[in-house]
Amino acid sequence: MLLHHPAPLLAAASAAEPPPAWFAQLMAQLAAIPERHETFREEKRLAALNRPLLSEGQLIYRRPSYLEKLTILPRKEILLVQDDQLTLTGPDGSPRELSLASRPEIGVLVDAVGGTLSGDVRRLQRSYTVHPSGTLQDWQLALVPIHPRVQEMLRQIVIRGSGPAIRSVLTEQANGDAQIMLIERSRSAEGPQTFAGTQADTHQPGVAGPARTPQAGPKP
Amino acid sequence: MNAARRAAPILATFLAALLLTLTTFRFIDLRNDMADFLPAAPTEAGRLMLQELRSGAPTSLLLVGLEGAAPADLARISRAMAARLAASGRFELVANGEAGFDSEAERFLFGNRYLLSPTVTEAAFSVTALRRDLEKLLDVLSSSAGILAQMYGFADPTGAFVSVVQRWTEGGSARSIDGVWFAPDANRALMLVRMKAAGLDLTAQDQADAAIRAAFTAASPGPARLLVSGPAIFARDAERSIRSDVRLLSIASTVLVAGLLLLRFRSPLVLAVIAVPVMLAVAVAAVAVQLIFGFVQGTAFGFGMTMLGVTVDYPVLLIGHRKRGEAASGTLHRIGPTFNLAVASASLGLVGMLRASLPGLVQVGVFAVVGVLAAAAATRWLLPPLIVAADLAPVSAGSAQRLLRLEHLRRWRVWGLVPVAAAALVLVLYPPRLERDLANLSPVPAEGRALDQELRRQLGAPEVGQIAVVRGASVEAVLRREETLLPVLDRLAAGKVIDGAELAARYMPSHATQRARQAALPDGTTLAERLGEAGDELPFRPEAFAPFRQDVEAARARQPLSPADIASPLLAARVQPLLFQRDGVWYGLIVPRGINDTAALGAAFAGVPDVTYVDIGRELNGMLADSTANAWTWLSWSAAATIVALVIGLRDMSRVARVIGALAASGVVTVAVLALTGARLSLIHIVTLQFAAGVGLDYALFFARTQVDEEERARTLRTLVTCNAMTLMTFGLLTFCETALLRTIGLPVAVGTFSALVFGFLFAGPRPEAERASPGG
Repeated sequence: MLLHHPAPLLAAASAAEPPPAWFAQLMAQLAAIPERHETFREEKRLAALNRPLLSEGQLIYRRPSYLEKLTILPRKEILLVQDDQLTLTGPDGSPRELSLASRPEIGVLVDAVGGTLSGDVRRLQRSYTVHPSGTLQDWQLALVPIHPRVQEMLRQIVIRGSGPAIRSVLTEQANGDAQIMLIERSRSAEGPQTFAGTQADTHQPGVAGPARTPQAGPKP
Repeated sequence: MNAARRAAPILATFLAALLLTLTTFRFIDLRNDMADFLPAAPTEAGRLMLQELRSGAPTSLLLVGLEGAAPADLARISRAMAARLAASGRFELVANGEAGFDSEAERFLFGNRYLLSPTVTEAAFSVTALRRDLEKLLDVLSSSAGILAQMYGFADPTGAFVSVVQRWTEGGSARSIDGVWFAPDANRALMLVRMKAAGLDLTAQDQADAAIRAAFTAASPGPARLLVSGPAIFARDAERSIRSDVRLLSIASTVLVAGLLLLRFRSPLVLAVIAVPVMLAVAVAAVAVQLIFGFVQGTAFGFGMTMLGVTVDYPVLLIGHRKRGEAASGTLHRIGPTFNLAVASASLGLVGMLRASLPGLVQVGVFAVVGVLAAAAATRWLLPPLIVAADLAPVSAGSAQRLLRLEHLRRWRVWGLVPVAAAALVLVLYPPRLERDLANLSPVPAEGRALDQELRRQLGAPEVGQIAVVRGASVEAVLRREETLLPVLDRLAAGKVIDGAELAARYMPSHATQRARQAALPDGTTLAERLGEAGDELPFRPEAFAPFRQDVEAARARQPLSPADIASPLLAARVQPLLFQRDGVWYGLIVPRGINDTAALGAAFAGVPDVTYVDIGRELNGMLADSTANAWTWLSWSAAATIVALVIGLRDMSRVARVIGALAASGVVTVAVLALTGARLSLIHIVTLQFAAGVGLDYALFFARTQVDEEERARTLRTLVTCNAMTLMTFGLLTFCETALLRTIGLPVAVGTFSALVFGFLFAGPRPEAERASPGG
């Protein structure tokens, strides 16, 4: 059960509500953690594909702005974000570097995860309106992008967790495609959640709906 | 009352002359294009390039650098400035490396990718190739970059768009920090700005520069510094500094000269009298040049005015030699023959300029000859009645005692040869170097040029260096010719002869190439079949590639694109300067970047039809060398004509020798002084030296007069000292100018005329004993 609440988009339409009392507490708990080593399993559902794309690997975070996503299966890949610099090293071993300031749309994606991990509300609010819901023990942050250009690509990012532990990151694109990353502490015995199980609970149309034409080219 | 009546004719004449001059200027076509001053370049391509560089697209380009702060701050300032400048609407292009293309550019390139991309071939759309593309797409989709790949991946699985973007973004050595261009070898953020107005529009330049500075200030720059360069800035700065120099100088010299004349003649009317022949000379000379050439070149006009400086002396010579109360005929009787000879030899001396190879100098020659004759005529026939009516004359002729004491110096005049010998020695030890680099004649200071070159190199912006020009009857013809050169240029780049090259065909394929690409694209049914086959066992749904199929189908049916169809100002600004029409002929420019081997580059274009390789620097400097060499020829003609005039006029070889000797002595000393200051002799020096020689000739001839009493000789000395003081107060002041060009004129005139006065007095005048022994001659 990932989403207990109605789509945050509805909340966004209503007047700005004050954040629940536990929100500040959660941010402080998150900010207190200097380093994380976790494993992830990711599942992408694209309208253009008739089966999901699966991948898994490890996540390493160090306060305040070091983030490493090491994909092991199906192909080795390292995504490294350090301060403003993003480096993506593919299976061929050649690194591709880019500065987040020069690619705001990528910077926004990084802000969602980076801002949550470091408990940095201001960083989150730079790019998103934040809609917290649930309780401190079972919380959910729905991040709705502010900038119209980002909205063209991204509908929202929903992060779920329990206390300082982050459980999942669901990224919903504007065209209905979605990907979810389930996170566990390394060598944890907890049973893995499945994407299909969570999927049924989302109230977002599109992902499970009929295949839709993916976005083609730049917007007019 | 009486004074007013005396003044009336002079003032009336002054006003009439002023009116005439102003009226004349309304009908003169004054052009400031240096192209009209310089000779036609030896090659047609060279001529075209010079014109293009002076007035075409390159003049509206501004290079901006930011330095003196942390890279992150510089990047922030660059972004803030770019946003502000782009919003100002004053610029056609503001590029600082941010985000690559704007959405307009992206839409154009994406929408036309199958016509623009060099990857479009039949093989690229085969089942095998498509299979490879789909497998790659799947890989990227499952990677962390997947979300980005979705944007284009399904509409462009073959990567045509990526290859188009690569074509447009390569080149330029700038590196990127925080998405903003930085110099590869320095902590300096870079920006490229193109004004909407042409580079020669001085007002627009000022506004553009002010907008850049305002945007910089608004970006709260802290310790950062702003550097702006570009032809427009140079033109503006040069104009500004010349203007401020000239304003200051004209005020200073007018005050000084007026003070001197008032002291000497005790009448402000003298100023008006002196102005009359000068104004008439300028008016008549300008009309003559206009009639002969159809226009007046600005620089030629400036030099011509300099040459006419000699005519200021004419009325002073007339008034200075007049005895108070004397009739006009009396003064003219005494100085007439010498005056005539001075005018004749001065104008004959200028005739040599008509043989100059620079069209501008020929204009200077015509201007000066006509002006000298007009001023002389006005002095001879218009002024005498006015001067007599107002009874203008020197306050005193000067004391004969003092004169005799001074003339006594001539007994030891052989010692006057010592400085001449010393100067000759200097010339032997430090022979003056000739200016070979035209850039050094530019009014732009050397440090400004160095900064410009550095920014251009760092930005990969085209420089005024080597260029190949492709010529054709149509855009299509030029592009097709350029396309045949693309592999040649790639080979040159691979061989490190050049780093790369900018040319229109790199961005805009010819219609023929676009049609070939259209023919290579499969039709809708075929493409759908091949995609189906290629996607076998891959998880793609067939509908996923609908946008791809639609775009391929549309590209097949589209009319091929022309450069005029580029619907993005950013992209059009890139192609426009590389492809243009002149007189019904289309020209394409191939601008190499980072040239390592000029010879190999030139050789690569040899023998290719319709292509001319131009080494602009060499061509310009060659023109300069030719013109300088040619100057010696016309200077010899001038000298010869002057000597003939002197021989006929003086009919006394010893006097001819003394006059020439005095002039030669002053010439040697002046050139030696120039050599000691390290100046390289240029055409400007040559013209200036000729002017100084003309003035010196007046001095020498008046000193060399015979059959004159002590009082008249004292009058001559005082008058010539007055003339020289006037020259020093006007031209000498140029020595203190900020503008190098004006300084170049100031020093030789000051040294030349003053030494001509000294040597004229010492050598041209007769020795006191000799005169007593044989009066007359």
